Amino acid sequence: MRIILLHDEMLNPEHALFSLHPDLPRVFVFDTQQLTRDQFSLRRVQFMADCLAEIEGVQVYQGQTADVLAALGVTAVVTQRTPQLHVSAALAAMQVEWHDEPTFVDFRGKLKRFMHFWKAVEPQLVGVRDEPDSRDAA
Amino acid sequence: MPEQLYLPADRASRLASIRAAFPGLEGPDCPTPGGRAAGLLRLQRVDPVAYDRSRNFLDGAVTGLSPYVRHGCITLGEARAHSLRVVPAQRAWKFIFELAWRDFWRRVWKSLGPAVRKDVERPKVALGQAPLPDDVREGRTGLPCMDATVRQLVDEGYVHNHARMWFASYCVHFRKLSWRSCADWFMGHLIDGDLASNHLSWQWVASTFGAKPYIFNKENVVKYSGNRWCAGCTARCPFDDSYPALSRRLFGEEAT
Repeated sequence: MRIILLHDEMLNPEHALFSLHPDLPRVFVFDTQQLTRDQFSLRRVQFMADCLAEIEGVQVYQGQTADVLAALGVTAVVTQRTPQLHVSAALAAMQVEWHDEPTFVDFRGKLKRFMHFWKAVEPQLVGVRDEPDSRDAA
Repeated sequence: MPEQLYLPADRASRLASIRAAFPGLEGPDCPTPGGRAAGLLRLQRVDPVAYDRSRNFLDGAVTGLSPYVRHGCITLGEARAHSLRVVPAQRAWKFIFELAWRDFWRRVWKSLGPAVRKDVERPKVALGQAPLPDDVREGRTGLPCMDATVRQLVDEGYVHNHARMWFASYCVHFRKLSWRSCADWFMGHLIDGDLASNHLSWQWVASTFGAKPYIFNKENVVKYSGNRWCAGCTARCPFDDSYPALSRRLFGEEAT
């Protein structure tokens, strides 16, 4: 079975993957290993449940993601790329179609300090203006 | 087959069902409604000019967008587009500048991977390695400003950015606690908890991802908190000094 696997960075009822694959089942797993490792609070899980309640047809489970997907007979997954390693680790045995998250700004340089990044992207985002270099560490 | 969780449409019932489904998780219910609809409502209320003017004050016009951005309910691009709809680009500068910080943190995370949980750079001052102690975790330090921050964190899952910086500085530099130990615990309570924004901000305070340590003093707290804690405070204040004096006390001569 092929599904759209939602993870906690894509809890949006208008997510692009839903129109790209309107017929695929939508699945979200509250990953018990992640909740424990990252010391998630009750409030955090409730906030995510609010988000999920807006997403039409999503099936919500709790457990270890790989185990839940295996039990559901999932062999292929479509999802959004994420630096969260537990997501890619859970999908190691699956066929995965990764989609990039929405891009905020185009930057292809080497990452150094923020102000270096900002000076490179500022013209795209707001145009150019002179401003003190600070992070409001007032 | 794994058991499917049913999420009631009514919010009060939904919160109760989650509480029942996760008996190992304790604490008060989430006071902030999640979801895109709630995020868009927040976004509609964002005033980029007021934000620019007052965001560093605890009662300032902060946006509350971070939980919604963190969970993908709204995108950074949507937030920027809103600001440009309501004011000219140059008046939205500060708001967009802060959105860019989030994009930057995320790029660093993608670049470094799990190494964001470790020192990114050599610390510029001596750092402590003590684990998070109970008096901090439970908001019993005796310092009203820090204990109130812990209470808000635990009760609401949200703390103003400036108070996050004060608290991180207190833990890392005044108490010499391990930034990692504190950052892990802090993130777990936040409804906007994000490994990149949280851990790299703690590292920025600690000086393992920045040119110098971030410290603050009482004058700063009084000014930006509206004097909400200091006026009636009877604690022996560790922050009541000039910056050069604090720097000498905390770091010796190395950082002066």
